[in-house]
Amino acid sequence: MSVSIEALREIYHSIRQNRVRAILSGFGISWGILILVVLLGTGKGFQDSVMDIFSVFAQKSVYVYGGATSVKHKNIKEGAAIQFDMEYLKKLRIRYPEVAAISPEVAAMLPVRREARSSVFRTVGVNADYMRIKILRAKEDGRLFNASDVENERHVAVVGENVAAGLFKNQLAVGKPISIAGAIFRVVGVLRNDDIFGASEINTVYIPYPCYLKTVNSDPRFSAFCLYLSAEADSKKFEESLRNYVAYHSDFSSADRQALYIANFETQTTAFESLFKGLRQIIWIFGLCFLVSGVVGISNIMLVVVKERTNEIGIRLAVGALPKSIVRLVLLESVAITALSGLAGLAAGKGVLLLVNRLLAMSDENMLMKQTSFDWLTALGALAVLVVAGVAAGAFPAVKASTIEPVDAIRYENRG
Amino acid sequence: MIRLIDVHKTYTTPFTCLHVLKGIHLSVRQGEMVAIMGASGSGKSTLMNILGLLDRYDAGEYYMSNRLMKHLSREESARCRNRLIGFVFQSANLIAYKNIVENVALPLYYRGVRRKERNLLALEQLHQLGLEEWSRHFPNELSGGQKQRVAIARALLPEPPVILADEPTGQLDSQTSAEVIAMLKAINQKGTTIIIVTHEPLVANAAHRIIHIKDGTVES
Repeated sequence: MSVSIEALREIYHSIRQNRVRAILSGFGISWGILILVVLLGTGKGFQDSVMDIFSVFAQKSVYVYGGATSVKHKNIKEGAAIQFDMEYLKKLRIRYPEVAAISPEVAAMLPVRREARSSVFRTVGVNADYMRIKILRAKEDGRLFNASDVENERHVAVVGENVAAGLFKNQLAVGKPISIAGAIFRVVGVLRNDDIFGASEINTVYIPYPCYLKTVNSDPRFSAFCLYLSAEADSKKFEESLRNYVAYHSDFSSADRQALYIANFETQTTAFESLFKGLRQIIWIFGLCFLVSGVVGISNIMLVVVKERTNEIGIRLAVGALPKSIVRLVLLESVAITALSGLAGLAAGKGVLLLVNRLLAMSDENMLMKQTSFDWLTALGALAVLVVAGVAAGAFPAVKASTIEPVDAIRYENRG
Repeated sequence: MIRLIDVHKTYTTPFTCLHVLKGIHLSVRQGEMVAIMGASGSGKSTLMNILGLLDRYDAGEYYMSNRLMKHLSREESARCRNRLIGFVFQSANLIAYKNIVENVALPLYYRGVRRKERNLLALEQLHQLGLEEWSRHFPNELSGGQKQRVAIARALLPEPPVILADEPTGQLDSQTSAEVIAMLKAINQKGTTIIIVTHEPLVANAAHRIIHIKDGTVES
C-alpha cells in the first residue's frame, strides 16, 4: 500500500477539518507517551547514577576480610582470628595469575597534626595497587602515591577532602608536612570526592603500607585485603576457589562463613543490572497500558469519523475510489493522529526530563540521580509502537468504512 | 451501448423478501438521452443503481459497451464506475471541506491524475459550464442549482460515455430545473449518452425516449 503525497494531503485536510476533535482524541496517546518517556528517562538516569557509583569499585574487585572461626577445625579451636601477611598475598598472586592488583588494608584511628591543629582521622596503610582497585582519584594539583613511593618507604600521604579542610582550612595542602603518630609525612594529594561512596574516604589519610608498619603498628599481620581480577576472569569461580584456598592454608573449614568474608562487587553489580532491567520492563508495561487506553480512544473517534463521513465515502466510491483506498484513507488518518500526538507527547516528555535535569543541577546535594537520560533509540522504539498503535486503532473503523455500500451512503444524507 | 436482458433484483431482509425488479428488458443506444419514469416504489431507483454498478442484480444480464457487467468484485465495479459512468444525484453530494475545483477534480484523483493537472482540467470544465467564478468557493456558499451544476461538471470531467442522473432536479425549483436540463441536453448533443430517472414529465419530455417502469417491469 503506497502512500502518496496526495493521500497525505487528503488526510491533512480531513484532520484540519476537525482540529479540536483530533487534538482531544490524540491527547490519550500524548499523555501515555509522556508518562512512558518520563518514567524511562528518570529510570535510566537513576540506573546510570547507581551503575556509575558501582564502577568505582573497579569491575571485578574483590574485598576479603578475615574474621574468626566459629567451629573447631582439626586442632584449632573456634574463635581463632584469620589473618594474612605480605608473604600470603605473594603466594596468592602466584596461585591466581588472574589477580591483576592486590593490596593489604590496615587502619587505625590516629591523631593527625599540622602545626597547632590536630584531629583524629582514620589512617590507612595500603599499597599503590589499592588506588587502582578502588579507583581513587587525586585533585588536579596533587597525585596519588605510586609503587616507587611504597618500595622506597617514602613518607608521603594522600588525604581525604575533610582532612585537608580540617588541617589546612583554605590553604593549599599539597606539598605540606603533617605529623601522624609522631612521624612526619608529606601530603602529595587530596582525594576527589564525587560519589556517595566517597563519604568514608573524605575522612581518611592513606599512607604506604611499609611506613604504616614502621610508624603505627609493627605487627606484620593484617585481616583485610582487596584485589581486582583481569577482565576475562570469572569472579564467581574465583571467589569459590579463593575461599577454599584460604580455608586450606589458614586451617579452617571452608563451610565456616564466619571465618572469611568475601565481598565480590561484580556479582553485586550484575544483581543491580538485572534489577534495573526488570524495572525497565515494568515501565514499558505500564507505558503500554496507558497507550492502550489512548488507542481505544482513537479507535472510538475513528468510528465516529467513518459514520460521520459515510456520505463522503459514498461519493468517493461512486466516482471510482477503490475500497482499499478508503481503507487507506481511514488508516492513514488514524496513524497520522496517533503519530502526531505521540510526537507531541514525546516532545513534552523530553521537556519534562530537561526540567528535571535543571532542577537536579540546581540542587547541590549529592543526589542518587545526577541527571535523567533518554536515548533516541528508545524514542524510535516508542514511535514504532505508535505507528503500530495507529494501525491497530484504525483497522476496525477502516474495514467498516470500506464495506460501506455507495448506494446506502449516498442515500444517507437524504435520510437525515 | 447499454443492454439489460431479463434483470431481476430482490431485496431480502430477515423478515421480508421484496422482489423489486421482475425481468427488466432495456436497451439504450449510444448518444441517446433516455428518461426513466415511474411511480415511487416502481423500482426505478433500484434500476438506476444497477445501471450505475452501485448495486448488484440477482439474475439476467447487463451489458455495457458490449461487456457483461456481472459478478464484478467491489474493485472491478469501482474501476468501471470511474471509467464509464458519471453520476448526478438528487442532491449534489459535494464534499463540504473541498472547494469546487477540488470537488470537480475528485474522479481524476482516483484515476491517478496529478493534482496540478486535474485541477487545471476541472477549472477548464467549470469554465465551459460557466461556473468558473465559483471555483475557489466551498459548496455551502452555492445555491442548490449551482451545486447541482457543479455535480454535473464533476460527472462530466472524466469524459465518461454514460451519465446517469437520478432525479437531478428533485430538489430544484422549476427555473433552475430547466437550466439543469438544458445543460444535460447540451452535453448529450456532444455525444454523451444520458439516462435520467425522474418523475417529472417536464424533465422526461426533454429526452428522446421515455421508459416507463411499473411494478418492476418495463411498460410497453
